[in-house]
Amino acid sequence: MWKILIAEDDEAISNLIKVNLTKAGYACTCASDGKEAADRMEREHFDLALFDIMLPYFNGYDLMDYASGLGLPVIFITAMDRVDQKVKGLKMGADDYITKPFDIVELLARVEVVLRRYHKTNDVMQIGDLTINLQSHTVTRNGQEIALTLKEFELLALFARNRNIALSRERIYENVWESDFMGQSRTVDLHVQRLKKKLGWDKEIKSVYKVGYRLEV
Amino acid sequence: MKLYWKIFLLTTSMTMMLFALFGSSMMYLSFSNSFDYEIEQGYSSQKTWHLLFTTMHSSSLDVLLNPDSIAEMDRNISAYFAEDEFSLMTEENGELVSGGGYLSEYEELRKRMENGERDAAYMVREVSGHHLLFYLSKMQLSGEYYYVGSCRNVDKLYLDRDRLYQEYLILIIVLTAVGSIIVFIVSKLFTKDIEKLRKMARRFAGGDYSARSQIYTEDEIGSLSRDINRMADQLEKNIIELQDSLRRQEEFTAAFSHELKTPMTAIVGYSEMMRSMKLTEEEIIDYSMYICRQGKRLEKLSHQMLDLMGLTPEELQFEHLLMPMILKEAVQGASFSLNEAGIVCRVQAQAGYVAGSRELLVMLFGNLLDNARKASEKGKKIFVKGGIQGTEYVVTVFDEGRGIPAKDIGRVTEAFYMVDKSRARKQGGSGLGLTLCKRIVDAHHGRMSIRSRESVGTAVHVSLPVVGKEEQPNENNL
Repeated sequence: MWKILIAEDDEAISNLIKVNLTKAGYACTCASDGKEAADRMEREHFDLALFDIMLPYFNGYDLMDYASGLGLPVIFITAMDRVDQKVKGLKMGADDYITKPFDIVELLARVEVVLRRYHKTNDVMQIGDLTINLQSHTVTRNGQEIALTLKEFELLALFARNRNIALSRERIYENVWESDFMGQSRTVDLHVQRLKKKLGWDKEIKSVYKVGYRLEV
Repeated sequence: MKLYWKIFLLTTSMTMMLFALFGSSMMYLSFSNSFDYEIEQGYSSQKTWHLLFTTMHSSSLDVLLNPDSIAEMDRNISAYFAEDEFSLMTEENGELVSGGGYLSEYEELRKRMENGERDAAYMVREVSGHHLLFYLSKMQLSGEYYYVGSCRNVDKLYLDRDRLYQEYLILIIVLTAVGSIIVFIVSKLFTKDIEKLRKMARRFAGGDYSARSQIYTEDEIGSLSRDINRMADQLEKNIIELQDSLRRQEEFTAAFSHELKTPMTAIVGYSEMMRSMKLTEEEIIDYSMYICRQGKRLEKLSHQMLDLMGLTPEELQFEHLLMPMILKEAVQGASFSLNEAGIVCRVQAQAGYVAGSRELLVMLFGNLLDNARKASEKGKKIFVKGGIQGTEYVVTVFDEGRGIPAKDIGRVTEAFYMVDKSRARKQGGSGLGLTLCKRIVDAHHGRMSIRSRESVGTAVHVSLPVVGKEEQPNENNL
């Protein structure tokens, strides 16, 4: 279970991020100002930090220095989307920079990317009795491998990474087929049907009204 | 570089010209004088010769005037004259006859004499490389006409002149050379100052706004330098003001967009969750509350921003307002929330009129009351006092709330500045309340000041210029 430190002084946003990351399977700690964030970093171990730049006491840039000393990867979250601010943040050693307002799915994806860069992601995901190995691109249940095509596997991985989050057909298509969605909902539906059949996940992958599909675990 | 070359060339050529002019005039005069002297001398020699001749002749009465005796007399007399060479001549058949030389020259003089009807004439001729001054005069002796010619060497005149000329030439050259070196050095010195000024101007233009000229001489360049410095001072001040203003604008924009984006992120985030996830009822209620609160926050922010933007002084319509009425209205507007918070508010206001906008002043005091309420706990009191002090109507809003830390007092009117962000947001604050108040006070040509002690309370003073009561046109003049 990866531990993430969230330094954000706005309570609503702090809570928003915490809830989402927790649902995605991370352990989150919130700090409401720079001082508290620094204290926490000193006392506890974290695998990733999310810093808002405008914080009371120490701002995000100050905390950045401290974090890089600890070898802690950092993603900046802020309302300033000026290019020079972004460049400054990245040059200081931040691993990524996300601006408000952000898409929660995007935040999750970026968190994952950064963790993976630091070899901290699981190559293996466990959902129920299914073991998904992202390295070898295999899926096993009780030791028995289930044969999936490349696209089906990618589809499964996408659902697994965004469990309990409803994904639109558009998003699914763009992620798995890596090109612009132009109404090819039939492709998505077909693949989802086939995946459900192969995994026996009729109840797990649910159709969400007016949105798309959601993997519920 | 070009300027001092110009000065140098101009001065040098002028000097040379003047020297040449002066020199030539002088030499001409000198020569002229010497020349005149020679002529004078020649003339007096002639006269002397005449005198001697006539004297000699008259002392030997019976001398027959034959050429020999004349020639002898001539020789005797001539011995007296060192410089002049005399010839006594007679006229025969319209031509001069003489035993001596220079007949053609004397002939020419004779013609001149006859043409001008004079009895003497002179001229200078160059003969065999020498300058000779010829004189001729006519003499009558015993009924006979004789011509006395004299000739003297005036080479010296010309030699002197030439020598003087050469010496002067050398003198000119030397003096001009020395002078031009001096001019060169001096003009370079002057233009050096110009070069310094140029350097300073270039530095300033290149961005070093502290660059100033160090030339303090009392001449035109010095005063130019002082004026340029003054200009630089003014420019530097303007540039700094502009940069400041730009910076403040950027800060405002940054703070504003931050205040805007944060609630938006929350609204979008929570609603996104509600849309895409399966949530418990409790979660749904929690998230809805977040969305609602953030929405209200945005609403308040946009209202205040509009108010702030709308405060252009030119467009405000002022009336004469009775202050106690304004204050009462403000308190009335806040009464509901004051009651809810369990806070009592007392008003004590003297009569007095102020020129202003009713709407804005009510908003102003409403805001102050709002702040007072948010800072105070249940059971505490708020006191609003208004009275005339000199030419101003002063309103003070006192509260017994948590106060403002000393380090923050100067900044509370900054846009979006909040002493305690989290508490302020919880209470629905945007950070614009006091900014708006200050703008309203400024638009009314008043002053606002804040005094506060933590845990004791805060007092906000607003002073507005007082006016006399004015008849309201519409109601009373029917």
